[in-house]
Amino acid sequence: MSNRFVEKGLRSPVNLTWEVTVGCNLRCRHCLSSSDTPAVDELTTQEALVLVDQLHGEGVFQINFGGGEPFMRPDFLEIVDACHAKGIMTCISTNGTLLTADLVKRLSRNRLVAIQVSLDGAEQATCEAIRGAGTYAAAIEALKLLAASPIPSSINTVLTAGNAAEIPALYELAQNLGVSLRVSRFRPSGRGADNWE
Amino acid sequence: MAAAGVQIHPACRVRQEGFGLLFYDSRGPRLLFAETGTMLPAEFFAMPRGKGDLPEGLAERQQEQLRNFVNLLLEKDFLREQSLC
Repeated sequence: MSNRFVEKGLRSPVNLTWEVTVGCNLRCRHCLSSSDTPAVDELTTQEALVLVDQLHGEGVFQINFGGGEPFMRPDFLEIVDACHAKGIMTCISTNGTLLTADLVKRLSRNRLVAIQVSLDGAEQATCEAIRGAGTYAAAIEALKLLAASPIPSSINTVLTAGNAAEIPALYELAQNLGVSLRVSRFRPSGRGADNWE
Repeated sequence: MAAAGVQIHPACRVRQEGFGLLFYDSRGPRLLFAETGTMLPAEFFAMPRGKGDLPEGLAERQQEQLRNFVNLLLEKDFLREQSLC
């Protein structure tokens, strides 16, 4: 960002991404975090809540939760609730497989959360070549639940050679579902670096 | 008719920086950098305020600047109007 105020330095980040776990129930080929099982040194619940306090004290406006799959953490809602209690906005990036109607209802209680569901192709075969079997239907189901809720929701697509031609169709799919589309750049890290080609 | 007041939009946040106030709108997201110095406390619009309300002790010129600034915040939807009652 080119901005004279930013160049002088802000007192803290405006928003930040927090990988709350590297545990994940999927093994996406492009995963920048090589998510698999949770790391042994992941923050405890107490440590995570202290961090929320610190980020609030620093004036951080928004925390974008990613991973891994954030909902794999048994205490994830507790962490999200702690953010909201302090007025910190949250955005959750999820693969959608663990989203249920009850969970969406629970998250709809306040208006401080937005949710992105990963979907890497407008066609099932394209998406599942990257994310694995069953991921397309699970993501669509999650997006339908979210679209019927007040939670601002979007499809998050990592742009790759394999799905570039489907971006217009993804845009149309998002419109039909009643959500927005966010196209993210590929980051050559983790399994993404291994599968660059 | 109820009096109109202004308050920070629920999708927005504001904090004090060295230059003044930094506004954040999660709907973009987008930022607004305001060189207000210490004229306007960050928490001023956390509660509903009368549209013409300003902090006390400001010079006439500063009041005029802030009134224009409040109009800008309303125009850009960082503040929203609502009933005070």
